[in-house]
Amino acid sequence: MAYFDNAATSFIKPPGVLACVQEAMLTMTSIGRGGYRQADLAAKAVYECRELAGLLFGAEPEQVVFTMNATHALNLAIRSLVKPGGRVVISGFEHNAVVRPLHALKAKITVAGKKLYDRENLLSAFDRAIRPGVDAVVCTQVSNVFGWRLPVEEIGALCRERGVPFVVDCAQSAGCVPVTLRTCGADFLAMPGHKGLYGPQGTGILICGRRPDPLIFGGTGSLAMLPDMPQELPDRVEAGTHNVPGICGLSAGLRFILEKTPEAIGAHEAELARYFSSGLRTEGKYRIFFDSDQTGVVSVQHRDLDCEMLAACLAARDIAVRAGLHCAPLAHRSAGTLDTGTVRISFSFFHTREDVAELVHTLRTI
Amino acid sequence: MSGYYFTFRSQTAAQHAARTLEHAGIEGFVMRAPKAVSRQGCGYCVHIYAEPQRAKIELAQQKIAWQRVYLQLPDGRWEEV
Repeated sequence: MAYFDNAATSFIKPPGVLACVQEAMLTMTSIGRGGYRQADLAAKAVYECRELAGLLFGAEPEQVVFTMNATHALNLAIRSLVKPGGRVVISGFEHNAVVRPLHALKAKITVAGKKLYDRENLLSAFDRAIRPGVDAVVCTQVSNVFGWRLPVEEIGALCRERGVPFVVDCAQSAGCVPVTLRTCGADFLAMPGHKGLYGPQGTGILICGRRPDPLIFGGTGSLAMLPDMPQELPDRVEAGTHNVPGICGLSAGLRFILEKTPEAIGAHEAELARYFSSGLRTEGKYRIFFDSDQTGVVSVQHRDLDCEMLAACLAARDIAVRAGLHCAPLAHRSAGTLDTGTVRISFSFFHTREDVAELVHTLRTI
Repeated sequence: MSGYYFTFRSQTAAQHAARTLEHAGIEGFVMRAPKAVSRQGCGYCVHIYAEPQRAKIELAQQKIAWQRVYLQLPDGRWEEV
C-alpha cells in the first residue's frame, strides 16, 4: 500500500513508537494517582514527553499541556482568549478546528489574506486588521490543503507590537518546520501528536505561553481539597486520566524528530513535493498547486475527473490520498477551489523518490 | 525516612525540581507528599537527603517555586525549615 495522507495522520511511524505504546500498556497505569511502581513509571514517562516537547518547541515542561488532538488544543487556546462575540483575526487558510470554535462563540471574524501563495498580500492584510481591541489572532503555520507556509513570525511580531494575543495552529508544521513560542511571538502553539510528531492518534499538545482556562473540570491528582481547578500548569487543563500509552508513543516520535531535526525532515518532504510537482507538471490533464515556499503537502486537480473519483481510482490501486475540502472550506474558498475540491497528496520523511515516481506514473495513467 | 521534603503544588513541578536538582548533583526523588504536610490534599514533594539550602538556591535560580520545606523529626513530627 502506498500511503500519501500524512497530512491527516502519519501512517509509517519511526521505530520505537509501537514498542513504547506496548511497554506503557504492559507496565504503566496513571500519573498522579499513586506512589506505586506502575504509577511512578507512568509519571516519569509522561514527564519525559513534556521535556522532549519543551526541547523541541522552546518551553518548560510545565508549559506542555497534553490534549486529545490539535482541535482540542485549539479549542483550549481560543476559549481562553476569545470572549463571546469577541473580535478575532484569522488567515484565509484556516481549518474548521479554528473556524468552528470561533463561530460557536459568535466571534466577529476578520479574514486577512485570501490570496494563495501571496505573502505580501497576507502580511498587509494582517497589518491592517490587527488593531487594539482584537481578542486574538489565529493563524495556521502551514495550510493543510496547499502546504503553503504562512509567515507566522512576521504576524507574531505585529501581534506583539500591538498587544494582541497570538495562536499558531501548528497542525501541519510541528515536526517538519522549526517553531517555538519565541520565534513566533506566540501565546499558544497548538498541534496534533499523530501527524508530523509521529505519535499515536488521540494525542495532541498545547504549548502555553500564558495560562489557559479549562475546557473540562475534574480530578488532577493534585490539590484535591480545592473545589476549583488548580492554577498551575499543566494540571489546570489536564483533568482526568491521561492517555499514557499514547504519550509514550509520542515520546518516541519526538525523540526521532529531535535526532533528525525538523529542518532535515522538512527539507526532505519539500524536496519530494518539488519532485512530484515537476514530474506531473508535464502531464497537461493535471493542475498542480505548488509554490517555492511549500512543505510536503501538494493539492492537485484532474481536468476531467471529480476529486473524489480520482481519489477512488487511486484507492482502487491501493494508494491513499485525501480528496474533498479537507475540513478547510475557507482555504478552498480563498484558493477558488471550493466548488471542485482538490486531491491532497502529503509526503512523509519515510518516502523516497522512487515512491514519488511510482505515484506520478500511476497518476499519468488515470 | 530522614531528610528534607520540598513540597510542590503539582507533580510536574516536583518532577521539574527533581530534574534540576539532579543536574546540580543533589540526589533526590519525587514522591507523594505525606498527608501531614499536604494541606490541600494530594500534594507532591521532592525528598532530598542533604543540602537543603543549596537546593533552595538551585531551584530559585531556575525559577521553580516550591511551597514549603519540611524536616521529619525522629519522633515523627514535621518541622518546617
